[in-house]
Amino acid sequence: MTFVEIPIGPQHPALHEPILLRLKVDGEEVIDSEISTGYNHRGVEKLLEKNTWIKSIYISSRICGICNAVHMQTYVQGIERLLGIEPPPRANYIRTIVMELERIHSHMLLFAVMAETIGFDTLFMIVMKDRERVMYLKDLVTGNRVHADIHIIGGVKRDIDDSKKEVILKELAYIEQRVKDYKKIMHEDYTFQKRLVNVGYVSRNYALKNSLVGPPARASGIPYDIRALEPYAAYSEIDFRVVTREEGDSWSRMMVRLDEISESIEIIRQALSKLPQGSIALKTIPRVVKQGEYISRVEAPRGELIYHIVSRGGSTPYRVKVRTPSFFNVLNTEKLFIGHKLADVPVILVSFDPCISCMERVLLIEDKDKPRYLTLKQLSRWQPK
Amino acid sequence: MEELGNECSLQPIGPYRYQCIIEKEKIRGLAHRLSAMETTFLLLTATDYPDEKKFELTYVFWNHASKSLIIIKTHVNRDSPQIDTISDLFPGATYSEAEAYDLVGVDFIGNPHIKRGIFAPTDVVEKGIFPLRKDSGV
Amino acid sequence: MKLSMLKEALTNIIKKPITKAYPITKRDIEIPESHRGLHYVDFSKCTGCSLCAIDCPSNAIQMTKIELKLGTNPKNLYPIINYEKCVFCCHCVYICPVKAYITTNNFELVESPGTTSLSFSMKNLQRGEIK
Repeated sequence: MTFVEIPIGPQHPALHEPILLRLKVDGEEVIDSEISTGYNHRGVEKLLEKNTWIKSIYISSRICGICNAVHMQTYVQGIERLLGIEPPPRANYIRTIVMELERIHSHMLLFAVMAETIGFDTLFMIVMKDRERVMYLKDLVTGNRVHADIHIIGGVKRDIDDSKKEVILKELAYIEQRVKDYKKIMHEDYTFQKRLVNVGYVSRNYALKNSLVGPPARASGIPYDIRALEPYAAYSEIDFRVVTREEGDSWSRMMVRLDEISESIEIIRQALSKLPQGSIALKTIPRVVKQGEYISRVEAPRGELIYHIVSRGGSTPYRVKVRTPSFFNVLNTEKLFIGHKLADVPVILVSFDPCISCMERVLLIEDKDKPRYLTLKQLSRWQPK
Repeated sequence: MEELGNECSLQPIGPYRYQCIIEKEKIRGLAHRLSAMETTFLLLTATDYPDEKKFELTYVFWNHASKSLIIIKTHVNRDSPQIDTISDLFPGATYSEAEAYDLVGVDFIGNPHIKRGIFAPTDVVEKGIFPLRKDSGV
Repeated sequence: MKLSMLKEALTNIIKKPITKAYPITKRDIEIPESHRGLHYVDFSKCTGCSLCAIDCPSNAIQMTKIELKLGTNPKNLYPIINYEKCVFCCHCVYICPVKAYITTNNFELVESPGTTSLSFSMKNLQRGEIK
């Protein structure tokens, strides 16, 4: 059989982060695929081991730009369980609000990227314009558009007052209306129907065997949501629905995300109305963690995020293993492209919400030299030793 | 949970969390039983303990029926770090095993994706360093 | 929805471009008061405990000896933030036992290499002395 091997990436207009797909194509049809990674290594796991507990919570939040508060929550929650302390209830509610704001803007970003991938640039612009309002809310609550950095061991750093509450509720009402419009587009628009329906089908069994997590699993009919199964932060006191669909194609994965935005808005409203009074953090920040280990699980926007924290006492962690949702959702679906047209490959990949920098985290070689300043010209000619 | 009784004794370590420590030879048999029980593979951590001359492997599974987390720990010798793969029973574990090999150096016999350089950069691979070992000097 | 999208697209054709030649014509971007921007130390409050320098995740804070002889700081050690290294997590602001940090929402930090908080802190100190 004759085939042509086509590399997509590591840098490619259709992909937004560096990853290499090696596709064997016969005509337009993909007959084999392979994913190559390793372009985004930053050595975070080693870096976490080398820094103190307090420094490392800020490093953990820098693993991923989009889901930074969730990374921080997972790590801080693990440390708190190891220490045997519980943050005040008000801190738990504020954490929940920040994480749900993050889920909203993450899902909106993916919806925009999907619109761009299928060639619907007007929608991309409109969604990104609406997303900016959510980013403003995050800025208002946490102090930065992207990096929340609001968690601290035993609480949160910033409080939400009444004036902020009002702004959040006002903006959320607008976002809710817009999300309804997006859902209408998903149902009615010709482009979305043609490009997404029945593309990249994942059966329930495939999702179970290949450990898919998050919206891809829920779109295949598995109600796997850590918020409901093992409630953390304030989720045990909040009433919400786990969104599942049965279709299992790219379209249903996008619809699950859009439905989750509506659920998140509802969760934030409930959390704001139930916000208990009291302090937002414990008085002292512990600096030494006793021996033990804990597997900390949190539902990130992309799926389940796990931190396995091993402590042998002392001021630094002994081993931190980070299992991000994209690790399974991207790598384990590499054979899913087989049988599809070449033009569908970016659509399928985007529908799994790939976050490559999340996925690869691990490796850093310490440069023993002093820091150097390079001009742009030098940098372009720079080669690793 | 009772089906696992012969292979290992699950100790509850928290709400809906069970843990057991087994010998490395038993991992295939246990994975067989788990894969028949609608279980999802979640996590594989390899931790280096140079003082005790061993690697600790932590497998984490989620059982959908009983909604509980099953943590299985096993140890491999540091001088000959080899263990049977479970990637044919749990395809989801393929890349986790590949990552454990690439960064810590535990060999999973029978995993087709085992090779250096999937996650580690090429200059580290050329030197033969496993970066997440404690004595790697990274 | 299609109609509203069309309306939005058409109004945007008539509108002036929303992008501006930024440093020349300043746009009044709405930044919340609570935005984590430039922060510096009030030297008159600092006791030189070095807690911020120990905890700083990016090692951006250097404790430096400055002979100010204000009385509150027996060792005359004052934290100076290197803004090139700073990640603006504001852990130092939170951790400070005497709340000596002054925060602003100023995000325009582009200056010459090696910008530190020393000049801001000294200016603040002089202002205080005039009062």
